[in-house]
Amino acid sequence: MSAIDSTMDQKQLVKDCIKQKALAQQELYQHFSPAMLGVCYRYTKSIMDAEDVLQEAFVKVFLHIDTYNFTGDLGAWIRRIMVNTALNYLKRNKKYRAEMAFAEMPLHPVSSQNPDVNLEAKQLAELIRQLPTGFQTIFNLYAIEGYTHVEIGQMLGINEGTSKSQYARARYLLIEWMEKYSSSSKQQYAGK
Amino acid sequence: MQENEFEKKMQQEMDAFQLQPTEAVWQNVQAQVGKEKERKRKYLIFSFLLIAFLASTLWLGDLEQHTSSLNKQAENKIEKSLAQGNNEKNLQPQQPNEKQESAATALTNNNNAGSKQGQQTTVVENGNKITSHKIRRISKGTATIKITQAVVSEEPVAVNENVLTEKDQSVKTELAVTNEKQQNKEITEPKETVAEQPLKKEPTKENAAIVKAVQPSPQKTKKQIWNKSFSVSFGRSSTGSKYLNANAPADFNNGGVITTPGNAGAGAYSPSATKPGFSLAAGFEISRSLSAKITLGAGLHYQLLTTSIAIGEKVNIQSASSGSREVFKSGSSNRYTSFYHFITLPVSFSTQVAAIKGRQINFTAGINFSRLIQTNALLFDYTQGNYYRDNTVFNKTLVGLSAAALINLAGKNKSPFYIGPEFYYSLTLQAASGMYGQAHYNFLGIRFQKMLQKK
Repeated sequence: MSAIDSTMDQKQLVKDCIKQKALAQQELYQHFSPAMLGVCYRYTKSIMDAEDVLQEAFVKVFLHIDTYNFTGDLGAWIRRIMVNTALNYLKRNKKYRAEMAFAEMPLHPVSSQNPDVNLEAKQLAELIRQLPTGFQTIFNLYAIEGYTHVEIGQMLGINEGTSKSQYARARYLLIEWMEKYSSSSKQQYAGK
Repeated sequence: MQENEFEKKMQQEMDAFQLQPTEAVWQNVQAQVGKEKERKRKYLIFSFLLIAFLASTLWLGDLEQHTSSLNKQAENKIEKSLAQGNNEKNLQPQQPNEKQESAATALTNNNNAGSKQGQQTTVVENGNKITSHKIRRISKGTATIKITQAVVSEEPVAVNENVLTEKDQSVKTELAVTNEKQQNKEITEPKETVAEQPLKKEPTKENAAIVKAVQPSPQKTKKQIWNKSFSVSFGRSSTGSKYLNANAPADFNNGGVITTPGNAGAGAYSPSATKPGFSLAAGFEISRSLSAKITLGAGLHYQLLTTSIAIGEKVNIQSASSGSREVFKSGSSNRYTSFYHFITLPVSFSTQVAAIKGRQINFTAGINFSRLIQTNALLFDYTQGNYYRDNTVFNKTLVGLSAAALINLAGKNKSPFYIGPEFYYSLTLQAASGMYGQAHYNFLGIRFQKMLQKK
């Protein structure tokens, strides 16, 4: 069991981090960094970019940990910082900036298709990363982080409708790819 | 499967998704947090020094006001004593005025500061001659008051007189005029008897004149507190490990070439030498006397330092992390001027060291707290041999030393105009690492300083 699994330990760890204790910072980093790198990975196109985001976000975490009010889950608080840092990274990085210009497109009806998600987490993450950056971002924010389209619109500076239509397109593409991926995997296994 | 089941399933899968970051990430996080902590610490020190300076300035100002009010009280006492003395003198011209003497002595004791024996003067007041005065100087804080303590005259008509004087020359003049007038009066007019003198409760005209001359006007008091000035400096600035980059290679154009031919690996390139450039500074200052010789000054300046390096052609390169960016290749085909813009808070002490032909020479030394507000300086990539921009590397808050020797060129009774050599050396390094990692800003030039009011 990790040293910071219980709420009491978590509180003590945060207090030590506020006091800038290096050991506490390292413990916090080691506990949360694998999951947070997973978050960053879903928003970027390469592991290097994901690590850049992770690094920048953890610096923010340690510099502003005194603003954590101990009421919510620490992991969720760190995750919000990761997501916001990732969005800023995408906006300021030339490589992503062009794809982050969300074009207005006709509202695409959200598919009611709910396929079985039989793929592994890693495979799903890879498929999400294959989406164009705009689709990828909105899919991550809506489907995985649980933000509403209004919130996404505010975060990205776009209309609620644009967010909805982009999400619908992203969802459609992803389901299509998942089905293809599943069938090709089945064929592979059948071939064997 | 229900609606939104897909999203729920995705959330569950992704929550379990983890990747192990490389060791370098943690090391970079540690380094950046440490750097931020250091930056915060510098801000705290800077803020503390600024607050300490402002507090000490306010305290000195308060002390000056307190001293000024004490002096005014003393002057009022003297004025009262003079008025009483005149009355008593008129009634008992032959008796020494003990009350006045004790009042003056008491005043001297009240102030309880180092008293100093001064010159003796002779003043005739209302036809009565005072033969002798001991001039006493009372000091408290930065203000000085001289009190003329009367000594009982041996002459039959002599009376005591307490005269409060300041350093102000006008008082002496006033006394001299009074003296002369009264001496003439003494010769031409017969002395009046006690019976003939009307009983006066108000101070005499002469006393009033003296007291008036002694009392500093509100404007004069204000002038003593702060002196304002405007200064401009021009000169040469440089950045280097030694003053004015004295260790720079003789051949400026050799910078940026491969230093180890055939080995273009790490450290194979070296940057161009930095050449000194033009520099200027301008701003306002306020100063006040801490003692007869030492003045404390502070101000707000804008400072521009420039240097130049030799570079090659401008090219665009693509990088995975930041996309396309402009860099300059190594070479000597172009000259690039780096501008450094600062806002500076100089705090200095100055003292008069000499006077040549009546012209005052001051030596000024102090600390400058500077903030780098903008720069276009290039950094050097030792592995690729390229120059690139990255302002985050430069130290933004700097502490430096400055000194100047200034001579006053203005004539007497004109507001001083100082000119002289000035030197500045930044104690803080120009940057934490890279080609400016061991470099300090420095400057040598001429300073022109104009006081905005008459001395």
